[in-house]
Amino acid sequence: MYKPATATLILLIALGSFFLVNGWLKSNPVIELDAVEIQNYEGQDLSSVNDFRENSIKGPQNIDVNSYQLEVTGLVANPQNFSYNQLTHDFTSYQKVVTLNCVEGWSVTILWQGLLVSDLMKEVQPSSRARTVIFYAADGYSTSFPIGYFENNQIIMAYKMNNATILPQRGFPLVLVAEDKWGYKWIKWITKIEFSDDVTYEGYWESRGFSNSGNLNESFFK
Amino acid sequence: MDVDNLPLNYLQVLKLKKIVCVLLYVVMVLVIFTGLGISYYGTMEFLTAGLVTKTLSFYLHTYLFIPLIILFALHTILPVIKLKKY
Repeated sequence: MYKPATATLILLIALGSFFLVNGWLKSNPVIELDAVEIQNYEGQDLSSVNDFRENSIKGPQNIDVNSYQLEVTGLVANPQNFSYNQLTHDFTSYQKVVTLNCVEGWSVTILWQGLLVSDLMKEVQPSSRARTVIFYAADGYSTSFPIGYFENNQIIMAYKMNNATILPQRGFPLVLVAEDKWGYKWIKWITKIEFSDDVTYEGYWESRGFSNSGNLNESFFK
Repeated sequence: MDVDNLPLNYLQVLKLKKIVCVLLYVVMVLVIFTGLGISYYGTMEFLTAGLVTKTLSFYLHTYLFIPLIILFALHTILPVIKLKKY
């Protein structure tokens, strides 16, 4: 048989097999929300919660809301654990339309609702030695930011998207709305926040060649 | 046609066309699979036992772009070159 045709046939079979394996490894369950998802906010069209691509390192995490505690620790005067109820009721709620830009080339524009990280910081009172804020997720993922990022900006830790409670597939209970940062900085399933003096800390993707700052206006490579 | 007495440049260009064709095919396959390695990195890492990571895929996919364009251009331009026919 003509060699290029044979090679192309093998290529097509390999591609088909790849997507078969991918379908076997990943599933796309129907997402049911606890409220009607809004599609427009103050004249701005919003993406849907279904428009995200699932590309987490270990797949969606299921966290029991009844036993969930957000641990805030490290170089703080007042380390605390916060329950989901405390986070959603005891802090002022803010909402903002922010676009997530993934390094893979897709983006979603969502109305995020949650508490400000800076409000949480006022509660725990970081030490003057604290330089870095490290976020940890339930699947072992982590990422970090300079503390000034939260002091100088109104960064939300969201528990709702488009008026509906964030689902496990999208990061329940908390997603960091890391404005002006590439998508890999938008950590999901947040379980712990650590205030540290380690300015060299590198999170999951950062330790695998991605930029530690993750600024949208810069390359995401190191 | 006496193949043994074809003008040298004609043979050279034929050989070059074949090399460009093969290289283009290889680079194209690499671009496709590294693209999959970015978007479906979990599956790619599973299939390659962790050898082809998302970061590696990203680098290869990005830096293969220019060679792909050059090879594609050569592939389409070379056949147009009018050689002195024997």
